[in-house]
Amino acid sequence: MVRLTELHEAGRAAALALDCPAFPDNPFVGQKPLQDRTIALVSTAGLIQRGSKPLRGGYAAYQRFESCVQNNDILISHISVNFDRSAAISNIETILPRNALAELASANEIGACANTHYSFMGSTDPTLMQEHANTLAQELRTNNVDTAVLLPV
Amino acid sequence: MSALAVYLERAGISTVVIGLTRLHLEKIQPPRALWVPFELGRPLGGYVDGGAFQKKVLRSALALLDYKSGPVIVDFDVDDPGSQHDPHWVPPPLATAATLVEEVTALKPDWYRAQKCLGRTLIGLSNMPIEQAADFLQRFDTNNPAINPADDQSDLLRMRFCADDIKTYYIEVALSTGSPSSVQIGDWFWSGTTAARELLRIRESNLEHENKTRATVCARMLIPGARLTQT
Repeated sequence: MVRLTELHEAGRAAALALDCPAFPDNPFVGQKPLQDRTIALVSTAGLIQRGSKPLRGGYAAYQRFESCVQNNDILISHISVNFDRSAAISNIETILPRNALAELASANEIGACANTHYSFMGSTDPTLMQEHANTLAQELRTNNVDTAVLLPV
Repeated sequence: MSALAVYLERAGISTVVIGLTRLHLEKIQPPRALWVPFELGRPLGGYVDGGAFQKKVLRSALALLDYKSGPVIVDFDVDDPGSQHDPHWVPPPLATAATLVEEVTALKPDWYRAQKCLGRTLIGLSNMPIEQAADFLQRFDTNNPAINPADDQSDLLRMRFCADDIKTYYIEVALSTGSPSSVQIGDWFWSGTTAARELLRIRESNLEHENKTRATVCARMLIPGARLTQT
């Protein structure tokens, strides 16, 4: 996939049946040159720092990954067994491309790479995440981060 | 993921979603989304060419920030070069092992070799040495009491984390002999290892368990759905 036709039957049925919220307000923050943006990554792989307690399914708060956290100390605790982990095992940049984003900043393709990146547990009821998303937005603004790239698994 | 983008955007943060399931992007309509035709778990595709392909995907996503209005969904219609089978990959040999612990122990030299290649490990959820995680799994559901009740994790959670660590261990072992695709790794693991048989045993023996949480966890959180149809 993730072309639906390439999913196994149960996966296709689950994807088709997933209850997706609608947001008729269509929020859209105005345009700004990439070179003026400070960008953070937000993964929904249920990432944790090594030694932390793995997240439980439905856990709606987010985890922080400051730049001092080494790639070897980032683990995937997502509850789903239905996604490939081999690419991330081969290179964690597959799901949290901190180095790639930093390189884009060094090349002045973007303004700056945030010092901290974030992760939520995927497969969580979005309504439970709203409060935490608002808290994250406040934290991002406080750190002068204006843009987030969201990466699922 | 897409809903999260809407929440952040409402709060004044520009967002771009890299989406793996186009149907969900169409339904939720996040402000900006790049749909990628990659396998679940690979939002940027595989890590090939020193990360050049992944950076290309990332650049394509960031380009959506130039749009003046939304919602917008753009397709990244290039297949993942990292999903190709490696014709030269030789599956790690599996010694005849009577137990999961024996098999894990026999594969340890391959795992050490993998560590030299990968430079890291994603094992760690169970917070146990891998042999102990294997031992916990093969004792799970027998008359033995909890192996390591040192903290407040239930045996069920610990079993899940041990299973995740064991699967990660085997993936890392598989990566020690080349660059196999996820399908190659899965075929090797699920068709020939004692570990897979142990996970299937745990699942099958708990499907009708009186503890419904336990039955659900064992039914859904051990074996990928795509593999269940093959076993």
